[in-house]
Amino acid sequence: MKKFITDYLNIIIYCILGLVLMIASFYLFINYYHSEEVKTTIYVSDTDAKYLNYKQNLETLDNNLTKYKNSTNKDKSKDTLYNKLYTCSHILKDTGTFYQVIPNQFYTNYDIYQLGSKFQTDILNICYASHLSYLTTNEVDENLQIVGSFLKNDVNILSNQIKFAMEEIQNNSSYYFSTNVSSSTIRNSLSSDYTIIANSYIEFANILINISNTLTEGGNNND
Amino acid sequence: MTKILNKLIYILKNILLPLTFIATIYITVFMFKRLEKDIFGANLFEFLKVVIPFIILLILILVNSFLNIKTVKDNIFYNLTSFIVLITISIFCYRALLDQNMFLWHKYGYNINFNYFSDQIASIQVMLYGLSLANILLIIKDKLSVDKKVNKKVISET
Repeated sequence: MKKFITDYLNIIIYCILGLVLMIASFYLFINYYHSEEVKTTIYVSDTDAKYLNYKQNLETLDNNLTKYKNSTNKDKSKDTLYNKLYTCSHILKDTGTFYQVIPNQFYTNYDIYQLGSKFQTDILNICYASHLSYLTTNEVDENLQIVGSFLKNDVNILSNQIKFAMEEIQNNSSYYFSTNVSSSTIRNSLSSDYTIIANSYIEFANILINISNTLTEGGNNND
Repeated sequence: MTKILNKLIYILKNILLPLTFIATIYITVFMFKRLEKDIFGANLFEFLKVVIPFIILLILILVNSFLNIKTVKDNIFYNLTSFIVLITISIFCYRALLDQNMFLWHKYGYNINFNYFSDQIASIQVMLYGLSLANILLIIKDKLSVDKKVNKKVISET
């Protein structure tokens, strides 16, 4: 009887140990793969097209603003717009924005998230909401109203795409069974999120260039 | 060779258990603090659920040492499994505390990824309860085989 119990105990013990070993090995390997996946970084080189494009856009914006400052064709509404654009051009170059990215460095998902976060807090909330949103009201000139309607649509699109990119970055902390699809989502999403956030900066600078063009165009209802 | 390896794994296992226990308590205490849960109040049971499997295994290790349970000490499969389990728990703690590549490590504050660690608590419990159960059964097996040896000795003497 004792031999029978001992034999059965042996089977039960080794079954439990086998199961525990299986679970531990599974978590050991899955953690290794997960840590490799979240290690992915983005390398921003000094020849990076997005980085150069943004700098170039801000230079164009500054040129347009200087051109208006030196011109004689000025009025009150244009002056107001000039001041607001001038503030925005400074916000776009502020610390933590895409302008301050140091090239030839690796950036983690957290750094990319911070870039997106800065875009939301400073560019959308301060530059657009506090300074430029007056263009979307009926209180401005007709040609500025047209610019304002385009601005509103573009900002809505940028706001949504930034939100999408930032939510995707947060997913890298979710722990799940690693499949090829989920792994590639983590690996590839950082690159696409970087592209989305960088393009949002470029796009917003482009919008400001288009608005600043109205300052230097000369044709205005008040003329 | 197997004996030396077994001895080495047995010692490493006994060192790793208190270390992982301390690391788990450290992370759990801060996790409760961040969630504004009172450890020694309404959430005591929740805290004990994390700690108890470690305490049981620590008690069993002491029992193995004091009663000199050969079936546990000499069982390389048990010691190896325990070692791998404790290495896995150490990796959970290491990643929760130091893996900065996961976004929520930065977001939660305290420099600990609570989201990741809370995902692992269930698997930690399963593995530790499994080891405890296996250890208890090995002790029972040891006692039964001791009785068998005594009986054989008595028969041979008569």
